[in-house]
Amino acid sequence: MVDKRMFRNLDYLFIFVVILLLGGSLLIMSTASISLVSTHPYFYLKQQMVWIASGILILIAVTAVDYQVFRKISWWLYGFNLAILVAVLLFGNSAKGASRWIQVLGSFSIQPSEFAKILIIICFADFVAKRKGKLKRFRDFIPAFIYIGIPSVLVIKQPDLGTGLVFLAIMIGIMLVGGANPWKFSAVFLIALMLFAGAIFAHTKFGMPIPLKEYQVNRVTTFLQPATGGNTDLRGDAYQVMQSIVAIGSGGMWGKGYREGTQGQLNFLPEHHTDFVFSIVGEEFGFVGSVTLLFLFFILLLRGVGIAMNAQDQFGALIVTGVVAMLAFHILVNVGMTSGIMPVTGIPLPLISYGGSAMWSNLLAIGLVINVNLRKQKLMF
Amino acid sequence: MEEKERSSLKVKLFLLGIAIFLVFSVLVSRLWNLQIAKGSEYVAEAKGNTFRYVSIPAPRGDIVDDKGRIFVTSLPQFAITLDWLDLQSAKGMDPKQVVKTLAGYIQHYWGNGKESVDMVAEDIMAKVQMHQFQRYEPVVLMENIPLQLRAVLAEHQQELPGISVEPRPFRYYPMQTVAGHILGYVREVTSSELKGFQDRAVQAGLSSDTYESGDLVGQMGVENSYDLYLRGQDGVQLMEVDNQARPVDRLTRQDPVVGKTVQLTIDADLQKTVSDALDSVIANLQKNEGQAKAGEGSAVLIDVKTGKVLAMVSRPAMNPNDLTGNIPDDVYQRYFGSQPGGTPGVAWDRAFQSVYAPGSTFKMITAMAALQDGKVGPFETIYDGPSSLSHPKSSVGDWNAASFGRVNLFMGLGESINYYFEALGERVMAANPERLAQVAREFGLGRVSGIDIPGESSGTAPSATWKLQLNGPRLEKARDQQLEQAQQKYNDMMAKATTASQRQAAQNWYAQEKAKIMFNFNQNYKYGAEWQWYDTYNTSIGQGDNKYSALQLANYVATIVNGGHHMKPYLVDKVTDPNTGKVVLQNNPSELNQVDISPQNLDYVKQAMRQVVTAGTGVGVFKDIPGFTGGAKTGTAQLGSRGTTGAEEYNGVFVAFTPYDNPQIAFAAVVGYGIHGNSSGGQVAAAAFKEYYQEHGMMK
Repeated sequence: MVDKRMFRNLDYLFIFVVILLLGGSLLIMSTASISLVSTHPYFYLKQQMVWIASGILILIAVTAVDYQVFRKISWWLYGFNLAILVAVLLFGNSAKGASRWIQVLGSFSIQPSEFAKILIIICFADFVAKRKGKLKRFRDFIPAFIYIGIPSVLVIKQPDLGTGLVFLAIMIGIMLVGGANPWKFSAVFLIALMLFAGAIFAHTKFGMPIPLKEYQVNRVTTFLQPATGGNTDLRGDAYQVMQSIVAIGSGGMWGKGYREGTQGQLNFLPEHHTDFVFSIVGEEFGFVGSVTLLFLFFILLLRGVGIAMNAQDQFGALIVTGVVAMLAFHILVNVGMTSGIMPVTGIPLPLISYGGSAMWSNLLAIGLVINVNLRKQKLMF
Repeated sequence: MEEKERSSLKVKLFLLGIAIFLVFSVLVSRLWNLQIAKGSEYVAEAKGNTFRYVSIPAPRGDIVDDKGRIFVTSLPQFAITLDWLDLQSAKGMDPKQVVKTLAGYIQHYWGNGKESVDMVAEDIMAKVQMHQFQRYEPVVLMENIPLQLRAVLAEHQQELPGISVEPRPFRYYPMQTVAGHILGYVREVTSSELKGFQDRAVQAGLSSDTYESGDLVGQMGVENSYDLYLRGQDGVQLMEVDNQARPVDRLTRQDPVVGKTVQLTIDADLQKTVSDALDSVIANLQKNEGQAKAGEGSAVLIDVKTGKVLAMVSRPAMNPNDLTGNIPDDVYQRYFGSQPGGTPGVAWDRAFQSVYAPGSTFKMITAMAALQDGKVGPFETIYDGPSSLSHPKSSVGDWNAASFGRVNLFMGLGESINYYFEALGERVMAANPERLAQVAREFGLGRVSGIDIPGESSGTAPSATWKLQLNGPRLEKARDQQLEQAQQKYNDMMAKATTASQRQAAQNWYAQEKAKIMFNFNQNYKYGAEWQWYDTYNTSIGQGDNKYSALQLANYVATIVNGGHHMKPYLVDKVTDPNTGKVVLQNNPSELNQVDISPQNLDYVKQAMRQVVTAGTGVGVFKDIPGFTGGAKTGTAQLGSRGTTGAEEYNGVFVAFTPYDNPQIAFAAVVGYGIHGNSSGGQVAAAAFKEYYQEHGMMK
């Protein structure tokens, strides 16, 4: 399956950046999670090592299979994806009010919506690649919206609005790169956004019923009316964001130093090893540290774009586009959320935040990019 | 891919790259703004966390009676709170030492005041430990502290960093013991209860974060079942504090939202009348009747058409005010521990959690089953004597040794004639040994009603199947075990046996042993698991295994007199928003089932119940109510079987309804060691009905 000559194709800078980011994750975890379980300070660090090691095995496995195979089974993958999302709704465990987890083999749980993102990328890349040149009219968009809409409704019902938005970001990226008419496609989104804003307004002002949970509405309204501007909900999200802003802001240019952050170490900041891990980076490593981390992500994504440009075919290019769009959206929303310019949606920072399912799915995504990269041009014999 | 295609792809991907660049530019400029431009501002804020996030507890909603009179309210009181972060960051102070100093000041007020300073300090540390996940919120150590203690703590503020005295809403039950069991009480949620409350919130469509550890929650009664409505929403204040945690600026504040007002179906006047009457009946039993064990009792008054509970009283009395703050051990033991004699603690609600033999108050069920099945006519007479029964020697005789001669339904119920009902029971059960239980359950006896407070007991309506399932498998298992043991012993004997005669002896022993086991089993099975004629006799007159709660009995009478509509009893009429007066929840009457007894037969039984008060065992009970009409049934339930001390001890049971035409209310009471139904429960009914007649201008 893997020819030796393929390695000449490999983008080593891309791989190097991935390794740096994973190392960074462990470094950050070694400070961020240390105050969580006082009797086992390294519990989360060790767990994260396990996730990374097993994730790399998954990555290697996924690069070994020629991605053209996915093309043949894309409808099966799509069906499987819907099946597991339905299974979560039916049998999922509820964590903090959302049934995002599914129990596998006793005590070990996975979060299927993390993997759903990857399956969506593969399936939708195939879906759009097959419609090459046929995405010029408004009515051409309808099948695509249905295709993404079904899994989106299933994850939003869990309720996991964040992943639903990630699906949307993947869709926008793949559609635009895949040849959809950019003006018409953007118009559709502008209208949808206005309808959504109108619905939220009507809901909060006049109590119009909408299919969102109250806390999800709160997150949007919290965001529109941040804590410093006379916000009324100081108990939940706004408090968290406020603490996070203080943490990042107080880091200054150089940061307070490794394990010296007061906000995180004193547990003022909830979820600071998962969704709010970037606050620790900001607090302890300062502007220099957080921009360095962002720079690594920037290189990663630009190399991804480069790999897409040189892909063997449209399908491969669109897979990579989907991965890049997904990661970019994660980074934007996560860093934006911790620094108070995006609503709180429970989206982790890729390759950095603690969590097994997210680490596996992100490494799976990286594996897909490397897969496309390895097979960038037809081998001459 | 063709070149042309690839170049178009490359253009689009280049634009994607630019979009990514823009995203990162936005993020980096935001970070620049936070960390460099405003960095020094946030450094100051983060120092000792100058943002202090203070929760302002919301007052819990009131519980009021059907006319809006207050049963429970929240009053402002002072509480001692401890802020662990302030305590830890205090310079030159050992937190543990501070806690010990505090323990010294409050020891006298802590629990029963007898714990040593070290023990109090340990208690405090345990409380702090329970809140370790919310270290940024102060922990309440002691509620409702007296003025003297406030003064002492204010004086010693310097020695006690992190300790403060704050006003907090405090639950107060102004009517003391009047409706204690219905209301329940409020305490901090325990870690094992937390999940259950969170699940409730999720089921109600709220976030599970609605409940957090440290929250006060209702622990029984209406406080528990309507907790989601009663609890308010805590307010929050964001304070800016200096590095000694002194507030320097109040940044912003979200006001607490008061909990909703829960309006009960209970009428406070009736509730109080019933409580007082029951207290005086019990006191009289203890003092004048020589019933030292008396003390337990319950009474229920119910609206027959809707199932609204108008009064529900359990004794010994519960005062929820005893259960606020730190409960001393002896109080805890009295409320929740097992009492001498094996009875449950005070908090156990005798009105719907305890079940008792109903005695003769069950006889209406026997009568209705017999009438409905055509086993007896209302005017058919049966001789009052053992000769009317197929097993005359074993029947339960009458309270009156002399025979009344031949009696019909009205005389039979009026004078509570056991032979009459035993004969009826025999006729009904011969045809269908499930029948009495079946009819009983139609009237709500022996099954849970679904009343809107937790902990209801179902009781037991005995029948042939019930008895078989209860004892059959147990007896069979015992037999099998005995047989197996005998077999083993026989095997051992055979193994050890050396001579033919020894072997013969073993065989003989084994055969005998098996026969003995089988004989015993057959005997036990026949009487223990199979339905016997004496079971029928006992059941027909409300003895034996019949076990029902006072709530079930009251609802059963209500069902007889309202035309056979078995209504679901309920305690909460509605929930309103105290600010707007808007009704948030309205409970409506709901019919559980329509009984399968004809209106005509229900009416015969109702007439017979009237005869109890006009010419039967209940004459004179309602003599103080001019213009009284209605019906009743007395019951005197033996506590033990014949030959035991229990046989000489009786619970007094009494059920009644009024008025006779278009009945409005039904009543049931069970008084422990009450001797007779009409001298115990009957007195409570008389007091309750009198109050009801006065309230409704029905006195003539």
